[in-house]
Amino acid sequence: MFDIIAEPPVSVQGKQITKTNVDLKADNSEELLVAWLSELLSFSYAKELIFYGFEIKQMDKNSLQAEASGINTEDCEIKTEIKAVTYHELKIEKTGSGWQAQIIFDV
Amino acid sequence: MAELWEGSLEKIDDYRWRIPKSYKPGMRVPGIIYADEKLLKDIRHDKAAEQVANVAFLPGIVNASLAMPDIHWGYGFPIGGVAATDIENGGVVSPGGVGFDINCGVRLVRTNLQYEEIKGKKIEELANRLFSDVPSGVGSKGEIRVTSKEERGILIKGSGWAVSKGYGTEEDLECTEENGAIKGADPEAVSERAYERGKAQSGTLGSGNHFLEIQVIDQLYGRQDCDELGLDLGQVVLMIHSGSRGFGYQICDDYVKNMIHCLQKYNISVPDRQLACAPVNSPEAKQYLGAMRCAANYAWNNRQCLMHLARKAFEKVFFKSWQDLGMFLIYDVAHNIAKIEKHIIDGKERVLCVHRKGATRAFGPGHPALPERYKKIGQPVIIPGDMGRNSYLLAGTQKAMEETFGSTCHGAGRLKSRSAALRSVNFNVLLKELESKGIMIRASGRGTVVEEAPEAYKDVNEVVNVVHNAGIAKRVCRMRPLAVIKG
Repeated sequence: MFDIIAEPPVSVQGKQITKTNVDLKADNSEELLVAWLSELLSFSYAKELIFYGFEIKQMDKNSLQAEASGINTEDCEIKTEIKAVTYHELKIEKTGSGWQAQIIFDV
Repeated sequence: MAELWEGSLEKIDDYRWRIPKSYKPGMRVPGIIYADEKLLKDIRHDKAAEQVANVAFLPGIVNASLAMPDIHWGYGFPIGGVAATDIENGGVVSPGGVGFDINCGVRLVRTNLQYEEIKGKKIEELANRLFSDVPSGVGSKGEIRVTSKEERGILIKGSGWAVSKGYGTEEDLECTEENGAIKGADPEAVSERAYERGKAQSGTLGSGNHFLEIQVIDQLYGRQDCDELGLDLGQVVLMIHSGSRGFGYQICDDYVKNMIHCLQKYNISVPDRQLACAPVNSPEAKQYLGAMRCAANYAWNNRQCLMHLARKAFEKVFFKSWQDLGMFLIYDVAHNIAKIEKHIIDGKERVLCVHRKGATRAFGPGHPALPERYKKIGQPVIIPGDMGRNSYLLAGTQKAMEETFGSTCHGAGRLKSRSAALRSVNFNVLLKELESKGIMIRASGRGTVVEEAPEAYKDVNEVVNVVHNAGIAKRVCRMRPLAVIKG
C-alpha cells in the first residue's frame, strides 16, 4: 500500500524514524486485514508519515498487535493518494504456497 | 480488457434500460440505467450494472436503483448512482452510497472577460498565478489557517465561515446548494482522527480528478436562459472541482466500519459489505448523517476558500477587483451526498433519504429549495468533462423530479482505470495534443495528468446528450478548457 503512495525509501539512515503500536480486533480475518490497512493509512495521513517497516507481534483471526516504523512524508517522493481501503470484493484465500488476499483501494 | 457484463437489460425507450427485479433474488426494485446504445456498450465493460442491481437490495429503496449515463464501476455502489429510501418504511442510509469524498462537488464562476481579450500570454499568466496561489497536490496544506475552535465552526457554518472571514459574500451563499451549510451537522459525531486528517487542508484543491479550470463558452443552447445567467459566447468562466479532502475520507471510513455491525443488528442482507447501512431512524444512522453533514459543510467552505484564492489571483493579473471583473458565482453543486428530501411517490408526498454518488441534484423550475433568481429556469447543474473536451452548464427539470428524485449526471464518467491510463498514455504526447487544442496544463505531478487524460473518460458530450434527450436536465451552454490547474 505504501509503495503505491510513495517511492519506497532506498535507505532510512539519517532520517527521523517514528514507531507506532497498533492493537486491533475484528470479527474475522478479512475485516482484520481492512482494519490493519485502514489504521496504517489514516495514521500515516494524520501524522504525515510513510510506513516502511512492520513487525507483527501477535496475530490470530480476530486480533493483531504490531509495531510499524515510518519516516516523515517530506522525506519521501509521493506518487499518489489512497483515499481509503474498501471492503469491496475483499477476499483472503489459501493457495498452495500460502495465503493470497485481494483488496481494493479507493484512489 | 475486463469481462463483459452479460446481465439482462430491457429497453424502456431510447435512453432508459431496465435491469428487472427478477435478475437477482433479493432485489427489492428494478435497476434503471440512463444511456443510449453506444454508452451502454461502455457500461457493459465493467461491473457497474451489477452494482446497480446490488443497490436494489437496500431496505426501503423506492421505485428503482438508478444509474446516470456517466455510470462506472465504484466500490459497492456504482459511481453515477442514485438511490432513494423511504424513511418511514425502514429506509436506510449507507455511507458507501455517498462515497469517501463526501460533498465532492463543483462550482462555476462567471467573469466579464472575453476569450479574445486574454488569449495567449494573459491566459498563461493567469494559469501560472492560479497554480502558485491555490495550493494543490497530494496532502497539500492551505494558506488559510484555521484554529481547532474555528474548525468546528466550519463544520456548522460551511461556506458561511469563509464569508464571515471576508472570503466571499452573502450572494455566494445564495448561489450554493443548501446555502453552503446543510443543517444537522454534529461535530461530536466526528472522530479525532478525521479532525487530524482534515487539519490544514481548508482552501486546498487536493489531487486526483480535482481541478481548477479557466474555460470559454463555445456553445449556447437556450438564449433566454443564458441571458438570465449573464452568459454569452466567448465569455471566460472559472470552474472549481474539489471535495472534503482527508476529513471526509476518514468520516466515510469510520462509518462504513461501524455500519458493518448494523447489518446483523438490523437483520439487513446486502451482497457487498461496502453497501453496509442502517435504518435512517437508528442511532447509528443519525450519527453518520451528523458527521457526513460536517464533511459536506467542510467541502462547501473549502470550495468557497478556493474561489476566494482564485478571485485574488485574477485581481493580481488584471489589476481590477473581482467585482469589476464580474466574478460572480453561478452555482455550486454537491455530487457525493445523502439528503433528506420530500418527493411525490405514487401520488403521495414521502420523506426520502436520497443518495447521490456521482450524481447531481437537478431540481426543476419553481422548487422551493432554489434561490429566487433560479426559480424560473431551474437549478443550475454543473457538469465537468475531461481536460481535453468540454464541460456543461445544464438546468434541472420537472421530469427529473418525476423520474430521478431530481437528479442527473455528474461528469463524463471514467472509461479507463487510473492504472490503465498510466500504462497507455504518454505524458509528452498528451501535453502536445492538449497544446495543439490551445489547452494549457499546470500540475503538481505528471502521474495525475496522465491518469486524467481525456482518453480515460467517456465523451461528456454523449453523456449530456442522454440526460438532455431523456429530459432529466436541459442544456444551457457548453464550455471548452483554456487552462487546467491540477494537483
